[in-house]
Order: sequence, then structure tokens, then C-alpha cells
Amino acid sequence: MVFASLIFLFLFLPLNLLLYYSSKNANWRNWVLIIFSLAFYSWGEPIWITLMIFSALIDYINALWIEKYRGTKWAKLGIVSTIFFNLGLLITFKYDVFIVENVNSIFDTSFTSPGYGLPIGISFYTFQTISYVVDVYRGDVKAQKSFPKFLMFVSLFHQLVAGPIVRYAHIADEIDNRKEKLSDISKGVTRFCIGLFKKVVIANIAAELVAKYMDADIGGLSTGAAWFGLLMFAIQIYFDFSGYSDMAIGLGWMFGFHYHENFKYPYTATSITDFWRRWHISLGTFFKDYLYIPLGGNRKRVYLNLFIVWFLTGMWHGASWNFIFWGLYFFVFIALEKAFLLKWLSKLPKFISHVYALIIIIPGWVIFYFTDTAKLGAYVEKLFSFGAANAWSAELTNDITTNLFWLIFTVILCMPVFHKVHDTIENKLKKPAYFQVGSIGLNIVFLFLCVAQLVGKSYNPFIYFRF
Amino acid sequence: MSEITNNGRRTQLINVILFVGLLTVGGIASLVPKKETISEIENRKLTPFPTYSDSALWSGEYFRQLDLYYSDNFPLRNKWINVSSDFRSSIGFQSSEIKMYDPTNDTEANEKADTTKKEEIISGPLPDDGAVGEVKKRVFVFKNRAFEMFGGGPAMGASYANVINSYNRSLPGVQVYNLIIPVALEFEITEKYAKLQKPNRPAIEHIYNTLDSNIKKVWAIDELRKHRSEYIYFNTDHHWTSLGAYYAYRAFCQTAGLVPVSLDTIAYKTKASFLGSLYRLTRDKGLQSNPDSVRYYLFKDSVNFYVGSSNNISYWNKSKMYGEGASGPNSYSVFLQGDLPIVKMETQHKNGRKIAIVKESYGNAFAPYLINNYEKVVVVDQRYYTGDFMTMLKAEGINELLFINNIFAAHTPFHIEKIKNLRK
Repeated sequence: MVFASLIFLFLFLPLNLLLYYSSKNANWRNWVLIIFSLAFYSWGEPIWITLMIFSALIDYINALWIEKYRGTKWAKLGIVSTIFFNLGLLITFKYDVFIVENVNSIFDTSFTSPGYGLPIGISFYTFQTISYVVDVYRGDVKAQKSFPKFLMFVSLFHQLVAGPIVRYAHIADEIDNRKEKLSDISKGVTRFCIGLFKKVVIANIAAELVAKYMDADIGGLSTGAAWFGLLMFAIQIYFDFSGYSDMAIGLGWMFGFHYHENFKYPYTATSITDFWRRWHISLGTFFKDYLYIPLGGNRKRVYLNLFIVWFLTGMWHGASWNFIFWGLYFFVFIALEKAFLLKWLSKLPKFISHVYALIIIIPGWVIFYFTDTAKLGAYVEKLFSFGAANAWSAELTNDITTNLFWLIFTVILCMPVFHKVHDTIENKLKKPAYFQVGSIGLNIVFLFLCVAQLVGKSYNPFIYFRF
Repeated sequence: MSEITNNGRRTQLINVILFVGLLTVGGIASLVPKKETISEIENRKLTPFPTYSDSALWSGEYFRQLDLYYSDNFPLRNKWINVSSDFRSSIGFQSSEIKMYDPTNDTEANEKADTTKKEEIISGPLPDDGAVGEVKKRVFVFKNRAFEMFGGGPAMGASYANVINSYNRSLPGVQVYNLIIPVALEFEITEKYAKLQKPNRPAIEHIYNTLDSNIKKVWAIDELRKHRSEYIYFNTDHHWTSLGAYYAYRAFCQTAGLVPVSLDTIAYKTKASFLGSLYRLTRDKGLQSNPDSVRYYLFKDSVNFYVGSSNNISYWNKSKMYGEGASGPNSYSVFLQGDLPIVKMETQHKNGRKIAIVKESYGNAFAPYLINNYEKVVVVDQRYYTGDFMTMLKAEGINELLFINNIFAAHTPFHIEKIKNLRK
């Protein structure tokens, strides 16, 4: 199931909230969450639910094993088993086709991959459980004794499908002993509505424009259209992903969990290093804490470490070379920044840093978008064919003008403008009544528009393509 | 201080109760069963409740269909759709002069077409059903009229012409005609937007030049152009009007050596308030304010109209030339009752001229005129007729054969294939 769907909004979520709060018993509440989470997961992938439960069981046992044999050589077995098992899952289900294809093309063999398909959320829950077992091993967190509670952590539908990657250590207390507060639920509602709006009204509309330009016949595109398509993709991916994180964080609040922020206005970054502190933060910190630092971090072989981290960061995004190239593209700039670029930038006006970051980030999305390298090449060529006869099209002007208010609003949303206005009103004016009423009203407006868009999406006139 | 906290708490409570309350009320309303199974405005069946099977459940198909069922049957669905399209037209400047629309989910529409096709054509006046369609790039709205934009290439046109040639060569003794209908935009396009579509005349010329020399080519485009300021195409639908079809008929008569009937003294009926396919696709407010009317002529000559069958060439069931029950969005189906696979008209003109017409839906408005000149007119829909076409021609004693297609169809593999496959 996905959050931005009518069934989730009108049946799943209200029922879940009502049942959850129908009893004060913590056990009841946990079981409500577990059952709803499993139902949420089964909606899309009924078959893989067994895999997720099995995977949770292995990691649950490994953590207990580590605690039992702490201080002995046997403890290491737990962690080795978890890492092997989870990476094994990823290799089997996510990278099987990729590995087999590459092996075949390098060694001229003809292995066939099992081709199971990618179980939803596997990239997220494997990382969550790895971090849990490693944290237990390091003694940063106590192993969870109750399997239902651990299963609840792994399967929590808020973040299971698309993150953020929630660390057990961050919510360990809340799993055992959380206190739901009205103020949090209300904050959660507001945050959820904002996230839903970002996904449905910004990302989905951007997606239509992306499909129109980036999936078009590339040869026929004008240079302007190629750039517009790419900008729309930058908007789509940011609002889609951060909208999803907003909804996850909001849902967490509704049920008494506090997840860490996952995005902090990434397009206002002043460098690539800064961008990755603002974009998908839970992934960046995962790689930092569980890979970069154990590899030696800044202390030894720093560029090799960076290379490995960015190779794998790219690869995590998908089993295809373009994602690896995309990761390495960032490696190049992060390495340059580490070597000298950040120092240079710090001497220049801030404005230039912003421009520099965007000039790197936005073209980077083209590598992310095209899994087909031939198309990627053709599109890049289009982007940089300045001065060509086909520089602009009437259709592009039309698309810009008919979406102009939306475009301006979207660009403003990329910057912390509303955040600042909000904070100013809240802190300086002490939450005046009109502000409170206004913010409730805004939630309703957001919800209303999103429902209209979601129903509107089902409008599928079946007519004249058929004459 | 405590007052502020209380105020804060009250606001929070209202926020939460409103959110959960609205969703719950909507959720309960959504569970009330609905009666509608067809969406008139979209001209398609609504997704039915999925039927359970183990394989559908495990593959996730069951839930996918449940999702579709839920949104297709959501309370006040049409109102929500209106809100959505109003919102979408308010997020930028809507030029009063032109608009362009992109049909976003045409492939989806086409896929659905496969699953829901035939019953509707046979059971009622739901019109114009192409099982598989072509991907149309855009709709162009100009002065409150909607236009399709032609972009077909010469290779496709040639392949259409060659299919017609193959019929010509295997039917000695039958005079073959070809008539390509241009799109409305051909006559309305201004210099400013000239790049939006390829000019139709060169494309038609190219087809006609590729045709065998003994095939008679009907220059309907030139006759239509003379009357371009008249009501020859609909404002909100992709078809032409009966008047447009009439001018094409006049051009045909000239080519075929016939005297066209004059419309001056012929009675007619009109179906008003017709919002056609292009309105339904775009839901454009300007189009809504400019509805069409469908006029059909009640010719003096009596005619016997029969509906035939793909399965049996000697089956002919007497019926009526006009589907007068057609109304609203389906008004164009009045002509020949919509897209029946095969129909036949027999007249009082015992002149030995017997013609078969192979057409898509544009031909529906055209065919009725021929009862004024022919002893027999057989009309075959290239998309739906699956019978033995060649044997049927012989059995009916056909001596003239007209292929009439709009310019899109003549440049679309789907239609070309269908025409080709009539001959088994």
C-alpha cells in the first residue's frame, strides 16, 4: 500500500488510529501496529511478508546471541551472521540480475539469474536491522527481548517502504515505553498533510512533465525542453521522497514515535558535501557510521574510503551501472571539496557556493534517471547542444505558462521560506489564534486538494484513442 | 499561562478530530455500495470488485484491482474530478486563445480498451470503440474548439496506399476509390501555429500518388476547404459533422460521375448539447461553453437497412439507419447506429451500382448520402468486421469499393493492419 492512495487515507489510517487509541494497554497498541503494518506490507507484496518476518527473526536471534556471548569470541558470530544474511538477501533479491548480467558479459558465460523481483522495502529494512545488530554488538543499545516488539520495529509501516532508515537506537525507548501526547498527534497530522501535499500536488504534477519530456523521443527535444524536463525531475524526486519522509515522520508522531529528520532543504546546499548532509540524511549517516568510519574514516586512506562509500551509495539506489556512476559523480566532487574546493568556496560570496552546488546537483539527476546508457548519452548531448537550431519550442512555453503559479510556488518550497515565516509567527507573536485556526484550515485544504487529485487520477476517459 | 496552554490544547484537539473525523466519515461513505457500473462521461466500465483467487492474492493483482475499484467508486467521484480539473487549470495562466492538453494515461486507456471492448458496441449506443488506439500526442484548443494535430509520416502513408493497391489488384472488375479525410485543424490553423501539425494536403497527395493509377482518388480536402467557414467539424469532438461529410460526398460524386443530392429540401433532425470526445478528454471550460449539435438528414428515398454479422454472410437483420436513441456524449452514434461491424442499405435506385465502403467512424456520417445514388451500399467497419470480406463482396454483387479514412487512420499501423487483415 502507499500513503498517497484513497484506501490508505479513508480506510486504513482512520481505522488504525481508532483501534490504536481504543485502549490504553501498551500491549494492545503494539499488536495493533504490528497487524496493521503486516497488512500494509501484504497489500503490495503478500508473498514477501514471510521473507521479512524470517529476516526479522534471524536478526532478533543474532542480537540475543551477541548479548549472551558478550566478551567471548562467539559474539562475533552473531554480527557476521547478520551481515552475511542481510547482504545475502540484497544480493539475491536486488542485485541478482545485475551481477549475473555483468558476469555473463565479462566472462562470456550464460548464467541465468533467479529473477525473484525486488521485495518492497528490502533496501530499507535490511539496513535497519544491520544497524540494530551492529549497535547491540558495540554495546550502544540493549538487545530487544520481545520478538513482537522487534517485529514491530522492523515492520512499522510508517517507514518500511521508503524510509527514512530508522535506527533502533533512536526509538528503543519508544518501542518499550512510549508516551503518546495530543500535541504530538496534532503535529503529526499537520506534518502528514504537508507531506501528502508535497507528494500529490507537487511531485505527481512534476512527474507528468518529467514523463512528457524525459520519456519523449530524445532526438525531437529542444535544448530548453531537455533542461525543463531535468528540472522537473529534480523537483519530482525531492518532493516525492521528502514528502514521503514527512508523512513517515508525521505518522510516527501520531503513534508516539520520534524519527529523525531525513531532509533539510537540500537544494539550498552550499557544496556537495553539504548537500549530502541535507539529502536522505538517514542513508548518509548510515554509511558514515557503519562503513566510512570503520574503514578508517578521515584517518587513513581517506580517498579510497570515500570511493568505496560513494560506489556503494550509488549502488544502493538501484542495481544498474548508472546509479553507480551517479554515486561516483558525487565522489569526484566530494573528494575535490575535501582536497581544496571547500576552502576556496569559503572565501567567495555565499551566493556562488549555492550556484556551484546546484550546477553539480541538477545535471547529476540525469545520470540517476536513465538506466539505459545510450539514452543517457543522447539526453546529455541534448542538454549541452547550446546554439542549436532547435533551442526552444512553443509547447515548452505553453507548459511553463500554464503551470507558472505552481512552478513559482514549488521553487519557493525548495527554500525554507515558509519555515521561517512559521517560526517567526510562532516565536515572536506567541501563536496568535488566527495562526492556529489558519494552520488547521491549511491542513484541510491540503487534504481536500490531495483527495481531488487522487480521485482525478482515476479519470480515465476511454474515447478517442479508439477511433 | 494556563489559558494559552488550554487554547493550544483545544486547537490541537480540533486539528486531530477534524482530520480523523473527515477521513472516517469519508471512509464510511465509501463503503456504501454503488449502483453505477459504467462511467458515462468516460465511456468505460468502472473497475469491478475483484474476484478472489489464490493466485490473484499472492501476485498482488487482487489488491491492485481493489485499489482501482475503490477509486472508481469513490463517493462524489465526478465532483472530485471537477475540483481536480479546476485546480489544474488554476495553477498557471490559461491563455484564452490556445491551450494544449496531454493525454497522460493513453496507454492505460488502451489497455483497458482490450478488456472492455465488444459488449458495449453491440448492446447499446455507446459509440466509437476502437479496441486498440493510436497514441495521440496532444489536443489543441483554439477559440473554444478542440483540434487534433496530425503528424503522420510518408512511410506510413505509403504503407496504407499499398494495402489499398493490393485490394485493387485482386478485385478486377471492381472500381476502387480512396478518400482521405483531413483533420479540422487543416482549415483553421494560423501562421502562428503552423508548426503544430503537418499540413494534410501533401500527405494526402503522397498517398494518392502511391495508389495505382486506376484507383479513383477523391479530393474531398479541396471541396471541404471551399466551405471551411461552415460547420463542417465539431467543436468538441474529433469527428466531422454531417455537413462536412456532405461536402466530401459531393467530391465523391464528382469523381464517381454521380449527381449529388441537394440538401436544401431535405428534412433533418438535430441532437443538441453534444459535448464530444475532445471535451471529455480535456474537460476544458471553453469547450464546455461551446457544445455541438448533431444534424442527421431524413432522405426522401426509402431505404431498407440491415445489420449483418461477421460470422455469417447471409445473415441480415432489418433495422434502422439512424440510432435515434443516441444522446449526450454518444450523439455521433446516431449515424448507422454507431460502429457496427457490417451494415447494408438497399434502395429503390435499381441502377446496378453496388458499393462497399470500408471505413472507421468518420465513414458513419458519410455513408447515408450514398443511398441517393446507389442500388446497394454495404458498410464495413475495418476495426470490427472479422468475417470473410472478399466472399461477402462477391455474394453481394459489389462492383465499387470505397476506402474512406481520416488522415490519422491512414497513418496508423493499427488501422492499416486491420484493413489488410480484412482479406484473410
